[in-house]
Amino acid sequence: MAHVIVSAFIKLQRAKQILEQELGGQIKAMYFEPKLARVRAAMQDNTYIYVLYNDHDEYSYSLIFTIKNLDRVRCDNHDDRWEVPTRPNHFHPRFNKNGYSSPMHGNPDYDLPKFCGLVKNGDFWGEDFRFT
Amino acid sequence: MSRLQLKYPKIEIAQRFCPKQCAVVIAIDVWKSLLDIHYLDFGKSLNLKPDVVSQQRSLQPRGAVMMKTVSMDRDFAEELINMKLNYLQDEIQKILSKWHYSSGTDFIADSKNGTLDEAEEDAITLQHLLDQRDQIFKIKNKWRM
Repeated sequence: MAHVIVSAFIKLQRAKQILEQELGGQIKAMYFEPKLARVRAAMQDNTYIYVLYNDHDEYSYSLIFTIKNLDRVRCDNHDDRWEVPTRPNHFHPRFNKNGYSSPMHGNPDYDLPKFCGLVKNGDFWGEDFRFT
Repeated sequence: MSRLQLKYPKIEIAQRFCPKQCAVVIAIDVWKSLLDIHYLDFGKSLNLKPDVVSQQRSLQPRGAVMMKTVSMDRDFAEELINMKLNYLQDEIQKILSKWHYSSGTDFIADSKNGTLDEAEEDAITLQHLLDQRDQIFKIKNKWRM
C-alpha cells in the first residue's frame, strides 16, 4: 500500500474536528495552535487534552488531570526506548513513567475516536489502566 | 524601490473582486502564507470589507492553480518574514530555557533517549519550530539570489 504523506497541519485540522465531534459538550475551550504543532482542549472537568503532530511522523496525545508530577496519561511515539510490541508507539499510564503497549499509530482518524472514547468512559483515570 | 517577484496563485481572482484593494489582499495572502494568519482575522485588523474577505476565503483554489508573478515591496516582505522568524526564535528559546538547554538538537536527542522525562510534547513542538525556521531561512536565501 502506498504511504501517503500527510502534513502535521492537516492532521491538526482533522484532530480539532474529531475532538469537537467526539467530545463536543465536554469541551470548555479549544485552542488550535498549528505553529506550536498542537491542538489543546480545556475540558469542563478541568482536565486538559493536548494533541501534537509534527512533520517527522511524531505524535503525542495527552490527558492532563492536574499539575501534579505525572498526573497524566499519554500515548506517543517520541521517546522510542520502550521494549513493547507496538514500538515506537507506547502508552504512559497515570503516575507512571514507563511505556506500555499502545494501539495508536499517529493517524488522527484512527487514533482520536479511540482516545476520546477512553476519555468519555473515564478509563484513563485509573492508574492501572493498560491497553490489552 | 526594491521589489520582490513572488509566484502568487490567486492574483487574478483577487483583482476581479477587489481591484482597489488588490495590493492589500496580496499582502494578506503573503502574510498568511508566512504567518498562517487567516484572511478573516487579518482582514478585520486592516478594516477590509467583510464581503471581500469572505469572498477571498471561499475562493481557495481547487485542483489546478493559476500561477502569476506579482511584485511586492522587498522591505515589506522581509519585514513580514523577519517577524515570523522572531516569533519562532522566541518560542524555541522559551522551550530551551525551560529545560536549561542551549541546543535544540541536544534537547531533542535527550528527550528521545530517555535522559529527560516528560519532555515529549516540548520536543515535538521544538522539532516543528526548527523545521519552520529552516524553511524561513531557505526562503530568505532564495530571495537574496
